[in-house]
Amino acid sequence: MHAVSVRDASKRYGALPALDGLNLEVRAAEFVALLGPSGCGKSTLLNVIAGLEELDAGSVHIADRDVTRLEPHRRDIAMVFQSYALYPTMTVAENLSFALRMAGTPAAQIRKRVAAVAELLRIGELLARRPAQLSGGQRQRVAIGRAIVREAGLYLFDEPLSNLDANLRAEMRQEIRRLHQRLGATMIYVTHDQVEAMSLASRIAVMRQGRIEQMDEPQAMYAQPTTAFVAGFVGSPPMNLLPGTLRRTGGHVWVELPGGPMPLGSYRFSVNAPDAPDAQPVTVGIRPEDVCVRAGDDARQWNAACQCGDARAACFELPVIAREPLGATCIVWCQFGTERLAAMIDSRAAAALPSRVRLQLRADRISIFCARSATRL
Amino acid sequence: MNRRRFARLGLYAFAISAALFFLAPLYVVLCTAFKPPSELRGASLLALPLAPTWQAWSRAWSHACTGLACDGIRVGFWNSVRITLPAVLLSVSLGAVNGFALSMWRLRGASVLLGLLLVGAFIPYQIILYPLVTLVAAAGLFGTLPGVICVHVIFSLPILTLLFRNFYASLPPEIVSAARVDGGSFWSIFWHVIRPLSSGMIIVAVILQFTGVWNDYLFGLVFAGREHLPMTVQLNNLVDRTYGENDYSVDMAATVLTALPPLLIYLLAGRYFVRGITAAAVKG
Repeated sequence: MHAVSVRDASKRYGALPALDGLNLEVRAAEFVALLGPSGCGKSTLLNVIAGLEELDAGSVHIADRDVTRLEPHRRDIAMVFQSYALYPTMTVAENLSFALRMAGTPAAQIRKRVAAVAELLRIGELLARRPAQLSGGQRQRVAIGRAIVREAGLYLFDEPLSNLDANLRAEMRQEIRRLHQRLGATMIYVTHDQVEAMSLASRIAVMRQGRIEQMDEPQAMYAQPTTAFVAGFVGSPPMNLLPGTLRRTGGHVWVELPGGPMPLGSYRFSVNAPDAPDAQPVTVGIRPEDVCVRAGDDARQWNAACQCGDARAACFELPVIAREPLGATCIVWCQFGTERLAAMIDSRAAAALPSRVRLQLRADRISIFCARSATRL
Repeated sequence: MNRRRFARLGLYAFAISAALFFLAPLYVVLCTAFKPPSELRGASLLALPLAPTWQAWSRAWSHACTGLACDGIRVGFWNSVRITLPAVLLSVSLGAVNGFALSMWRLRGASVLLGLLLVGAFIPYQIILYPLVTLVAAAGLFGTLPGVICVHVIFSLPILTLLFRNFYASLPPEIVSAARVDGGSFWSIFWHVIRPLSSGMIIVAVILQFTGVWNDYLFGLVFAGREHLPMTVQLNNLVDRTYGENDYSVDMAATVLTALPPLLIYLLAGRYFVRGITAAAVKG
């Protein structure tokens, strides 16, 4: 259960900065997901924490110990790789015991620990096989087993589930969550799959261009992204981002959108907003499930979760350009000025939708970003 | 269908004639080696021996004169063994370790080193023979077994390092990362994780190296010294007589004996050789 602290970390590959003065604090026993598009530096950060790559500047601390210059095996960590990286010529049992053998653990104890891990991950009957004789899911289990047999204080996962098919991925996700609860160890988990990050992590760090853009609990990050980048990256489909102008006239604060004015009502501005001038260009973000859809003048609401009763909320009438059924829900794409706006509604309702719909945006669920700095207002 | 069969026939005709072409010298060598002296003059070169005998073989092995000594070619055989085995063992091990270090570990200047190795791998021996003689003499190893072994090892290192480096570069680097996290040192990772993966490449390297060192003439002649002349040099001394009568059957028998060890290695391990080469080609 080690706390991890990365301070002012910088690393370049030639001219390309992979980490750019990055700071990361992970508390003991926490499950942190590093989320970001490819090339954002998340795998580099994990390798730096593991000691597989060296920093150009900055330091890494594990359990309050400066480990910046230490070899990986002196950091009391264990790691699971995307390609599993099992030793091809060793049996499963030999793979599991390799680290213990390297550490000179007594044979009796090795047997005990391997047996315990094999039971925990239900790979007992595979112990005599070689990696080539295992399926993808089995290899993944062995790779995880090889990591946890160490009983390290910090576990690092580098996109461990990305080579598995969807069903197996869901199953292994549960398995990893169970392991975290059971071991109570600190885990850092690199992924580009936000479902994985949302469902596993106690906190998510969204990375962009070698920096951490936002680090927060999954729900908080989903509801209140601090930058337009995070808003546009987290969520599937991501948050709608609409260009607008922030107006304050006569004590009222409202946003002018391409389709008309939108009163802000109860929107809570963050600290830097009050000084903002009138007619400030902004980006308005709204989650697809927070867009209320009605068919023409029909009073019926098409998504139940949404309260469209608020008479003060602005109403827009928009043409439907595409429908994307997802099973239980359906994404309805509408043309909103020059932008495309996604609304998520019940799929049975979507089938009966006319070609023009009326929409309302829930003012209490929107996010407003400065158009220039892309930070939350 | 008919056309196909015709094409197949042509193919066989070509393969068989090519095989005959290349096997003809071997046939002559073997035939002559089994002929008694009386048959050497009279009969045709291509005739089978009428009374086959091992006489020439035993003479070539233990009595034939090479230069002043008349102990047969066996002296050279054992010299070659004493040169080849350590040279192969050393150069293949060093090549594998070098290749591992260059491919799997980020070393400063690794790419420059690799470029130099590439240049080294293609420099003809003759160019640096003289400086090398001076160097080996300065080290006090000129005319000794360790001297000639050293020269062989140094000259084969570039090509072997490249061979292993390219093979290791095709392996997933995460295997080494995993082993580093699991507590392996450079040597224990090499020994426990990488070496077992390299058996195909090791066989390829051993075949290349064994053939190269065994068939070498120049280094053996220059560096080994009178006491340790390898089989190839002795064979030359045996065949290149300046006086006395040429006994062709002995020459032929000695030639076959000299060529036999690499030939046996090929026959025994050739299957792995092809497999190793293809593996390297596909993965590289």
